[in-house]
Amino acid sequence: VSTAQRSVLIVDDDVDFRETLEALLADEGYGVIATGDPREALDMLRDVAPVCLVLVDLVMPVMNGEELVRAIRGEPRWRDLPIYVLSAWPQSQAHVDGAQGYLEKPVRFETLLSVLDRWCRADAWPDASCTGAPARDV
Amino acid sequence: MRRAAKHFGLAGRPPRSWWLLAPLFAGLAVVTVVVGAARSSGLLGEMGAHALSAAVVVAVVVALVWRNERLLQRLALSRTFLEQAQEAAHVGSWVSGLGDGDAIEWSRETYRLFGVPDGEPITVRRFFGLVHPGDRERVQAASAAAIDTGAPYDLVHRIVRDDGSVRVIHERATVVRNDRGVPLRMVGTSVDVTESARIEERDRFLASASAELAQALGYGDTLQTVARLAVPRVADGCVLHLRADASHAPTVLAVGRGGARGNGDGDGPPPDAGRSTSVELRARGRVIGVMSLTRDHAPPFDAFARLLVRDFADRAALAIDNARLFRQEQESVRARDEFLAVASHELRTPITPLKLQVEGLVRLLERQQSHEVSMDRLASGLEVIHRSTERMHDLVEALLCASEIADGLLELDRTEVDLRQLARTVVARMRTLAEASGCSIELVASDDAVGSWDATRLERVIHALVSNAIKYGAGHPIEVAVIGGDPTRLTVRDHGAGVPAGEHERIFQRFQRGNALGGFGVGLWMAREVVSAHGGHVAVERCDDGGAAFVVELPNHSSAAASAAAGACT
Repeated sequence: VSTAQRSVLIVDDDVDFRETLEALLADEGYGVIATGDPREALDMLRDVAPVCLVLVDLVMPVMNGEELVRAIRGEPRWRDLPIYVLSAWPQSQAHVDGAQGYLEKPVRFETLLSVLDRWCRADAWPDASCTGAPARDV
Repeated sequence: MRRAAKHFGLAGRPPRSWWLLAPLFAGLAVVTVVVGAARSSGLLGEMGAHALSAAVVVAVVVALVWRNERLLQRLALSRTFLEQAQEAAHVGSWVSGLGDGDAIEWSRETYRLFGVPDGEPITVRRFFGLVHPGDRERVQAASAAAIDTGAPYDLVHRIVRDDGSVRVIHERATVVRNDRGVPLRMVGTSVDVTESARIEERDRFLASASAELAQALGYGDTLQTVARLAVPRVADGCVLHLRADASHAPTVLAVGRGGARGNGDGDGPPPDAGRSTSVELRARGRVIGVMSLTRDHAPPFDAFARLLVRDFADRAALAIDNARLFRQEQESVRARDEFLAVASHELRTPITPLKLQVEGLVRLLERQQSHEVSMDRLASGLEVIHRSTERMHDLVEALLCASEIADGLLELDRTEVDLRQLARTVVARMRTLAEASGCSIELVASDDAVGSWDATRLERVIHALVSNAIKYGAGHPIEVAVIGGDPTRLTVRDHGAGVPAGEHERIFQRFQRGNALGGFGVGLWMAREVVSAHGGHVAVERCDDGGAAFVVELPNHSSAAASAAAGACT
């Protein structure tokens, strides 16, 4: 699997879910950074490795997923950063503006991989700079 | 009156027409013929003939006068009977001229119906002055139509008596015309239909009230409809006091003039007699509130009006009770739907890592030779699978426990239980979850915490309380304390935002969830039910330094010592 140098950022307060995705995506050759604290996620975006995709849960303590998406979109350099909501709430009951997609838990691994394949392949990010964004077809 | 009678030729005594003297003339003619014949035949001398004639004339006159008096007596008797009949039937009769200034001849009962002293001269103008201003134009139009076009004069209208009282009169009349069709006068009857009109009005009102109340399903709508129906049709002001029930706070709704006074609760002197009335609102054998009505401008409540209020209150109470039941039903449905959504969310959460781990491991094994998959990878995957299935098991157990309680099937399986050990087990199992939320857990346990309790269910209680502390005290330490004795006390103390004073009871109700941070919303409810089944109780205390302390007290008759008093927040 050819992947970019960018990582997938997982923001979810469920430890088991974080551990699982970290292991599975590592098996597939993706870089993964994960946290259960949305505030820490903002720090990671600023300070850690470049991110190709953010997977964010909705219901979290301190700051919920909707607020995190808003905070990310509030930064001009992250305006086009791909964000997918990954929640156990049905999409019909959730109202999140600013995300590229919504995946309902339990998500099929194949579905998740197709999303990663789209946003995190090496050729999806020809420009290695943090401000660049892949071509969007949605 | 005599003038009016003369005008219509209908005075109290009958007219003395010439034909009444016809027998006298006939008698005189017969006497003249007989006396003339007697004189011609020489049977009577001249003097004798004169005497006989005079005697016959006197006899005839006396007979006529006697007969006339008899007629007059019978006529007076008939008149008396007529008046008595009119009085009994509340029917008056009248004959009216056509112009405004023309006189109207009223029967004695008509005077009584209109509240006018018997014998007072009445004109058409005076009559219209007695008609209620709201009906006057209609009555004048009906009268004009009857005179001009021959339309039937048959209508019900109100009158305002000189004393201010309002009556309802049904009038029927016909227009008398001469040979050429020129109208001469109106002859008619008046009937007092006030009582039947009130009954009809009451029936109409109650029917429309029932229909309108049946339309209103919402609680607020129903109260507004009751008030709107009451004012101004029943009273000038209305106050509804509704008692609280399981899902409704006490409610007071006041509308209209003077709506707040005279609630009839017995405090202070009553307002003006008849100006207010209060009735209980009863439904399904219970008093659900009180309706207080006041009249400032409308006539005071008489017996009839109080009965009307009673009937209206019965309908209002039924509608309000139905609205309350409807709202409770709606809330139940909403709570059920929310519970299903929450339950679905909660079950999906552990299923997700479980499913992904299985898919990932299968994928890994398919792609690589099994011996190339590291044991560490397999072990970590299986560990997540194990934890996920445990979480699902906990959730299903919670659901089953809640279901048992809801169905009234909770039966305790009492064995000798060490509450310290139970708490230790639960804390150990939940430590990872707590730490993931930034919570450390400290367990403090004294000796002698062994009692006869249901271990499985108490484990669920401790689980629910610790889980609650993790959810609402994330990022802060949690202390669990067990103090032996009778009662044996278990305290779970968090350092979160605490529980507001007004919420101390609500949080123990079913399907209550604080900030939607997971859980079914049945944990605390289940905890209280289980503890109550043990004969104990659970309550929450708000701690001065922040956070909440949930205290469970379980009776423990096997313990010789009374439990040491200790502050839950310490």
